[in-house]
Amino acid sequence: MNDMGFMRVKVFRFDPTKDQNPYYETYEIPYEKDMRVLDALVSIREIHDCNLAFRHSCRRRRCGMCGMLVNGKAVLACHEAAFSDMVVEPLPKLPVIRDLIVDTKSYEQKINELRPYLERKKAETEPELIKPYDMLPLRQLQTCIECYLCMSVCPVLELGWPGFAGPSALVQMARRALDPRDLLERTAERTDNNFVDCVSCYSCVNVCPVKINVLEDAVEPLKAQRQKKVIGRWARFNSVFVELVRDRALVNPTVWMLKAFSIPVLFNNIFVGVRFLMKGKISLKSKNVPNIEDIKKIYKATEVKK
Amino acid sequence: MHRMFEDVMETDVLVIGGGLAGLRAAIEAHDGGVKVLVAMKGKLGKATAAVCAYHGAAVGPWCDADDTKELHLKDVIKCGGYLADQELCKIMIDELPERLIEFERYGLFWERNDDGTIAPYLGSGHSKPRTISTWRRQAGLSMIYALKSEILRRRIPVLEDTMVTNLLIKDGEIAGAVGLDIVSGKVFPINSKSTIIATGSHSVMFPDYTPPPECTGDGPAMAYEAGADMMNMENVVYIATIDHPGTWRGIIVPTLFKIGGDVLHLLNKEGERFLERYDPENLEMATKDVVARSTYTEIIEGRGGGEEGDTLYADLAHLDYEEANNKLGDLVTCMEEMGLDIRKDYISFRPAAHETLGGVRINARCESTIPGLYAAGSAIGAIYGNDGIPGRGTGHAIVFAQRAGKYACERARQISMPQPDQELLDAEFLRVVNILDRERGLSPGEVLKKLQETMRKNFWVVKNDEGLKEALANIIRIQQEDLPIVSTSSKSKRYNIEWQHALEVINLAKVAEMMIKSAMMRKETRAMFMRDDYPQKDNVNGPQHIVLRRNKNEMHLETIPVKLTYVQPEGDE
Repeated sequence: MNDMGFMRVKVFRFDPTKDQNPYYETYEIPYEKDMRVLDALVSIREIHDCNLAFRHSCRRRRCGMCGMLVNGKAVLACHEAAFSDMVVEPLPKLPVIRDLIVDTKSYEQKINELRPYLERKKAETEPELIKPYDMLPLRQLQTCIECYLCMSVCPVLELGWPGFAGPSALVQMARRALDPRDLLERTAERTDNNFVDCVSCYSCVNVCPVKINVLEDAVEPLKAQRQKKVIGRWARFNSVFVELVRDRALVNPTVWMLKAFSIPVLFNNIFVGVRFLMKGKISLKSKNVPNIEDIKKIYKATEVKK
Repeated sequence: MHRMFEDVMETDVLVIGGGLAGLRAAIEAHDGGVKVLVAMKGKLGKATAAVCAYHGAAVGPWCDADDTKELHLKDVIKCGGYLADQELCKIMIDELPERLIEFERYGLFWERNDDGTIAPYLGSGHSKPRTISTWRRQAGLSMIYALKSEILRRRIPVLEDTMVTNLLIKDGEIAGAVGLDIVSGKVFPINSKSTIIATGSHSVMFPDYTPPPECTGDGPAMAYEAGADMMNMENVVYIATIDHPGTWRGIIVPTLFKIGGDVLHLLNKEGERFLERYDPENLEMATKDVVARSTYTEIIEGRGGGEEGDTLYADLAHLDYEEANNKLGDLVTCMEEMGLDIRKDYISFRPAAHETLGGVRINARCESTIPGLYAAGSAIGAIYGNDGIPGRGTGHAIVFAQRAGKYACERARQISMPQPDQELLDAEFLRVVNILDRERGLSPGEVLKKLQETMRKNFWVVKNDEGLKEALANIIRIQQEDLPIVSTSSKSKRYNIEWQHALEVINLAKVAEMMIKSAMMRKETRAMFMRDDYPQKDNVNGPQHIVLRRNKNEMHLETIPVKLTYVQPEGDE
């Protein structure tokens, strides 16, 4: 291989049974053409420290085991290009088992709670006839490799709201809920806010290594399915949104939150509210839209009749 | 004084390995009504070669009206150089349609035609289109996720990050195994009534390989030590893979099916489509042994490119971009990430070890020659001979896993829980822990490198007696001089990957010895097994199985003729 000199890699190290605190170590390794981050880590293992702990298996983004942070960006080591002076760290928000390996048990639990299996009747004649068109929404979803990169960047998951399942879990849920063969009632039953809390920020979509549009292919269809089944009952968040557009032609986040959430929920999140207020993300002053009557007319004209 | 273990685990059926075969076997045994435990080195649904599998193949309702199971059987056996165990191969062909359709009960969805029927396509080596897959040719990934969901539904316990280091024996029967939890560093016994080995292949003994790095032949090594018969260990499938970077040396450049009516073209450094010389009829759709042999010949005869002349080129420019991206997703993405344009640039490739085809000898009930020990998946030997016809890898994994699960469950229902010999347990505990206690020595990585270099030099696509002798001498030297002083640089018990690597390289060295000795015994060239000192088939003795077992501390080998019950060679085949 044509060597083009050396490169430096800074790696997060931590053995919780021995080290008091995590530390970083910098290694120098030969650079190879088209090198991936995983090549660099394997090279460190071969040249410097055989004990550097990281997970990898398939080497072609099918197993989803080599998720880590490279210069703060959540990536799969097997596909990310390596570059000099990069900093490699474990995925955030999870307990470190050792070095770059994190304990993903909490995420797995979230997925398992959503009954990640198809509940179906056995077809009368097998294989049954299925139109490919009916399965289109599932195509991309079934390529999910559960690498948890999306979970590690999800801002809502970070808030720790009880019940919010996180993008990866919602992909697994959508994969079953949107399957025409599935018989379980998944979206109508209200046990927790496993998907309605998603704020549609697209962070998960941006990091997905297998290009799943988590938002448009999983979360939005789940919300739509729920809306159809339980209109007005649990979809308060959405119906208040519609109400605000109809009556005021303007969505003021403060009013939206105050109307949509119950008092205990508001009370529990009072600190988040204060933080938002201090940062100027929400305001207590309410603006009014001029010529509101004209806008109401547009709304009325475009409203879909039930 | 015997060591007391705090937590002895007990289960009716122990499944070692969590890949396609392991998970399928666990489901079957669980449904038979017994307690099942899966132990695997990685994470559930992840550390397995199957996630990269392209397809399955069977004669089902999706096939042409004139396609028959007999024809499928003939294709598979012919492609495998008549080295298949025909009884077992027939079972595989017969049960495959049911096994594949079953996956739709588990939530998988095979790609359909517009009218709703399953859409098959032609795989190289098959005489009819009977290969089926899921969207983007990711059948393996879909199959693994389907099985994973069934494991979760049934709440079958899975010990993740656990390496099984050895089998336990009581009165000549398998009574369980010893596990090493790599996260906590705990060594513990697992008592079981039946034990299924589903540990996969042992391709990691070559420097370039397609399966995951966990495929270190733990199952075959343990079974051999326990005294089980091993079969046709010399067989390895070689396949074209991306040449660099190292991480991607394992991504297949597939010539297994057509992409929108055409195949990708394989070129040498002169830009010549070299398969025109070796198989003008099938070209790139030739069977894997022809492709491997011609690739090897081109490189040996100096028509390879690259700095060391050891690479060839694949040309995708004439393929429809959308089709190529859909069916060769891995390859196209890799090329694009390297800044190559598939419409005009070539991708360089070279041969790598794909799947090893030797392993534990089983009967139709998936029993090894030791009571209580079952095997399935790539850890078994000689099901379809020694060539990889598309769909056979996933095929034998699911068929024999289902059988292994069923019969292991049957045995578990009949016997009481055995208590393994305490001496064996103590000895194994010491063996495992001693590696960590050694002060200084060789790192497991260094020893693995040596082993891989030996195998790459002397056990590559085409072999000969001289090379094999040299390889054997090297392996014996590694076993006697290097392995006793393998030690780890860190003594931490927390996810000490070197500890696991040390145990793995011991297994690999053992399996390498079996492979080399079997290869020396096979004095012929047959399908994927090639020797330049014996370039012809042995037509005097006909096709032979090579069986080996441990006899005290000696490796005993013998040949038994293949029973040609259903398909006989025609002409000079």
